[in-house]
Amino acid sequence: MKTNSWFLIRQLAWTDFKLRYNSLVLGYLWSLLHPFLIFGVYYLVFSVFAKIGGVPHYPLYLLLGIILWNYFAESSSNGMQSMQFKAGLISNIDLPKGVILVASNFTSLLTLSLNLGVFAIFFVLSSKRPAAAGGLFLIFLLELVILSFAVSLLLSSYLLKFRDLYYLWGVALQIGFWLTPIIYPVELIPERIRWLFLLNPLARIIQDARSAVLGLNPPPLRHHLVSLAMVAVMLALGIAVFIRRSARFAEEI
Amino acid sequence: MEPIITLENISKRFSVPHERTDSLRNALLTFWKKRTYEILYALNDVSLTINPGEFLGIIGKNGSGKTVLLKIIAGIYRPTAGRIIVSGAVSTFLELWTGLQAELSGKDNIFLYGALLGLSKRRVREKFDEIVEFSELRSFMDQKLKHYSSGMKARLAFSVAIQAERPILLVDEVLAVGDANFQKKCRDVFMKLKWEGRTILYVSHNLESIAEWSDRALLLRDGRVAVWGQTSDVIQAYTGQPIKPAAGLKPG
Repeated sequence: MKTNSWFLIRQLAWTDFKLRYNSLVLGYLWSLLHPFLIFGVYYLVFSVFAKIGGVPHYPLYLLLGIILWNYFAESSSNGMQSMQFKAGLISNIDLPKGVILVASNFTSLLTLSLNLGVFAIFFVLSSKRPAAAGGLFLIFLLELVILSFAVSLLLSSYLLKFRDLYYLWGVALQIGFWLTPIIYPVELIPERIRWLFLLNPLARIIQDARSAVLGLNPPPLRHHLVSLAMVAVMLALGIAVFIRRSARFAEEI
Repeated sequence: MEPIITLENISKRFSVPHERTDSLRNALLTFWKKRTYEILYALNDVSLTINPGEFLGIIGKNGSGKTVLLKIIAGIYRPTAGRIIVSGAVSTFLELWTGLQAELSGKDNIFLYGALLGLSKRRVREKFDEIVEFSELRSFMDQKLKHYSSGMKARLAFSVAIQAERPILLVDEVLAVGDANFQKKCRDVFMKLKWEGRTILYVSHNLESIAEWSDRALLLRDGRVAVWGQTSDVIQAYTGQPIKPAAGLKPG
């Protein structure tokens, strides 16, 4: 059975992706358009009306931040609900539940790839050279994907038991967007309380990813090791909780 | 002969809370309150052994625990008490339509459903024509499933499901759909699967099919084993009258 899990993951992810976009008028285009619309508005407000200073290449900086944040928000929300969406399957077929979550994350990953593709075009058009540390970007991207997956493991473990988690997470994401350095650089936070913001692994990862791509001042190795440790702990916690809780999903649906 | 499925004193208890607790808000608001539950025994001290290649018919009223029994054997539910040994991979034919997607074409659904039932991509490819042929839906393959009738959906799902290669099949009321012609085909398929030596647990309200196919039968009443043994005895215990001999239907 394990050998066919990969086929199942692909089928579920592909189905999700088709279903999500084929009923929308703009089709696949929408998944591309969404972060760019948001980018347009924030750019207008924070770069034309009120100026956020001290960031070179601010448009690219902002765009990449929004794309990465959007991926996190989308994959965690969809991952959280994936068990509910597949309620019929869970109560009638003995599926490895993790497969459903992985498939859901794949769908979000597909959107992220499309968005990064467009970002790459902007990057080239702005005639910026790739930074020397650009390759590190892939490592930070991997950290981001694992972190998002870990958060979906935790959220989906409890959504069936506490259905209002859905609304709470929506609020948390809205607040989180402003408390994470996305439209502003982390240097804008007063030094005294900056450590507090850097307890958020997402803040670190997005910051590091942008530094790598845009060639901004790279943080020391110690900083990266802490980020990696945070992600690893989240993943371990997520897997442990999910394994314990998922045996009950069929009954809680 | 080693049994392929063994259940020892299996119980499944559901606690149905008197107040809703499926939200954080309620959980916090009622944290200090003592919660009261209705204890519901869906299965109560069920012991069974099923031999490889056996066809077991399962009957009983609605709510007697038939589906829960299948779900426990399938591993969908964990038993509250008791021990279960299943030595073989299980395929479930419960509510066949749940894996289908209305917005996808018939063809896409065959691949999706095949994946859900644990088939490999290669197997689905190889058997694709056979599946389409059996479902009698060739001219509908490119249409979205939402344009299918419920009978057509069930036919499609069933046609994929019978390709599952696992040794144990758990079947819940599949004959409720489909016209007479399709039911005849289903019958042939079950005979073939039985002949191949698959172990089949078959839940149905259709006593004729139970009488025709089962090697042994099981009657559940309020989650307990009421009668288990020779099919005719079990059906008689259920209906309170001897079954009419179904002339010519009994397979060799």
